[in-house]
Amino acid sequence: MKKTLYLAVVALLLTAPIARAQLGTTTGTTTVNVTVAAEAALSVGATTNLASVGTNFSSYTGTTSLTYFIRTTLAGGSGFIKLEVTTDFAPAGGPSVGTPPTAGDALNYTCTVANPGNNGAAIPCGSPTTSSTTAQTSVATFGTDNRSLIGGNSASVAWTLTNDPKYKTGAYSAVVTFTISAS
Amino acid sequence: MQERTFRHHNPAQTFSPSVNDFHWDIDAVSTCANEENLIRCRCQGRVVPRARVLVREPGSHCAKRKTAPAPSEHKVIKTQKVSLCPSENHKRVAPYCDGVVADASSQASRCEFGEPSTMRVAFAANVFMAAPAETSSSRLGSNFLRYMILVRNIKHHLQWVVTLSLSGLVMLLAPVGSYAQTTLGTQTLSLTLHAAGLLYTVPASVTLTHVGTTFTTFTGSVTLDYRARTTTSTGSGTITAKATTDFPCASGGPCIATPPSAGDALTYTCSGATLGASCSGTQTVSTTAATNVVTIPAGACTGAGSPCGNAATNTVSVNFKLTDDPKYKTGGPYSATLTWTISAA
Repeated sequence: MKKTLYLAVVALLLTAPIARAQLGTTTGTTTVNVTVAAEAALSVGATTNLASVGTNFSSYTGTTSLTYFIRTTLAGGSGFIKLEVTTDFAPAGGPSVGTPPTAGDALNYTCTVANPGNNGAAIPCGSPTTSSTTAQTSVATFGTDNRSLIGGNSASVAWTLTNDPKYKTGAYSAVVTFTISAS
Repeated sequence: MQERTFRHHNPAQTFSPSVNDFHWDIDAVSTCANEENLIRCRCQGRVVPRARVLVREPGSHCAKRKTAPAPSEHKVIKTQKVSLCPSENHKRVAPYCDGVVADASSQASRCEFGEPSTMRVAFAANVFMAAPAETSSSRLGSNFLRYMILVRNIKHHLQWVVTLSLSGLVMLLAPVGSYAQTTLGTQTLSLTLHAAGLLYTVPASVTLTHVGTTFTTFTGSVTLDYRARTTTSTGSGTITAKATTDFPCASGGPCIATPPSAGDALTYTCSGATLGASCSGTQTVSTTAATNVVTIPAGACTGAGSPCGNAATNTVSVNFKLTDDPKYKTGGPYSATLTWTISAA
């Protein structure tokens, strides 16, 4: 038995150098895999100007337009768009969101949100909503399997700022941060 | 049964059976580690009047089988020479008989070097004796011995058959250097090399991913290994890709044949082909037509050094992009199959 084994090993060693494995083929296949998850994105204009019509202390108004892209999870998903005044009006002496010069002075807004173009329904903010420097406030909310168009869907925020005579004349600006999220 | 113990000291001592010597209980059992050794035997059960036994010839250390004489006979009537001795000093004759179950109280002698052995058997018969290193013998069952010897011989023969076959195979397969002593004639060998192309390393899968959660494009890359030879002056070769299985479009994910949104597509670019030219620009994967990956010119070949001047195996990189359309439902992995094809002429 041992002799048989030895000879088999010798035969294998002698034949191995002359063996040429040909493993090439004329065709081959590759499987392409991709996993799709919840995602959200938005784009918003850089500046919105608030203006007052006339000269009788009518409120300042303006509209900020934005485009949102959203995909919430097929089951149990949700999403939202919110805003927050992350930098109050400056310089001092004019309007202020954090410390209104006069009680009742406020930067308020209303929301208009188109439904996600591929599936779902957007729920806009309640009107009017008072912006804040300390907390995010709602613009829109989304439910399960909400999917926007590949080019996005539109939303807008219409601002109203009290025209308080107490404001000193001048140019004032604040920064509003919009946030979109999906799960 | 009467139990007797036999111990033998005279190498030439033998016993002739008598009329009363056939009530044996001995089992035929092979208990020697080396099958070349004598097999011990115990026969149990009933009377075996014509059991075969091993008898060591006077002056010899090898055993011969002998048939136990009939009750009316007192001499050996048939012998069969059996060589069971790889080493003359390690043989020990054990009794055999036509097998029957052994008595549990019986013990056969052991195959030991140069020592007399003792065997106790429950029988009322005498045994045939062997040389000094042999066990006390009794009438043996010859059939079992014949069987064991036959098995051993067959095994030996088979080993040699295999050995000779392998030797012949070695001769046929191993390169043999010969030196012609006399020129008997000449022969012209001719060879026609045809164009050929083969794919070697083809990745089994690729996973497309993206960074962040803001609908950036999914991306991924693969590298193909290939070898090719094209006809001089007039030849050409190609590597192409085609989606032979689409994503599961009905699941709401990406789809090649019917993109969910206009502009959705699985595309690729090619780079770094070491033989031939990579595809130009962005190619859109199709389920109905193959799209170009590499174009190989005439007279091209794979190989390092002259005349090919490239590498032992050529490579090309294929870089994929897939639109991240919000319209895709969450889930996955969504999978599609691409088939790569190489051809050369």
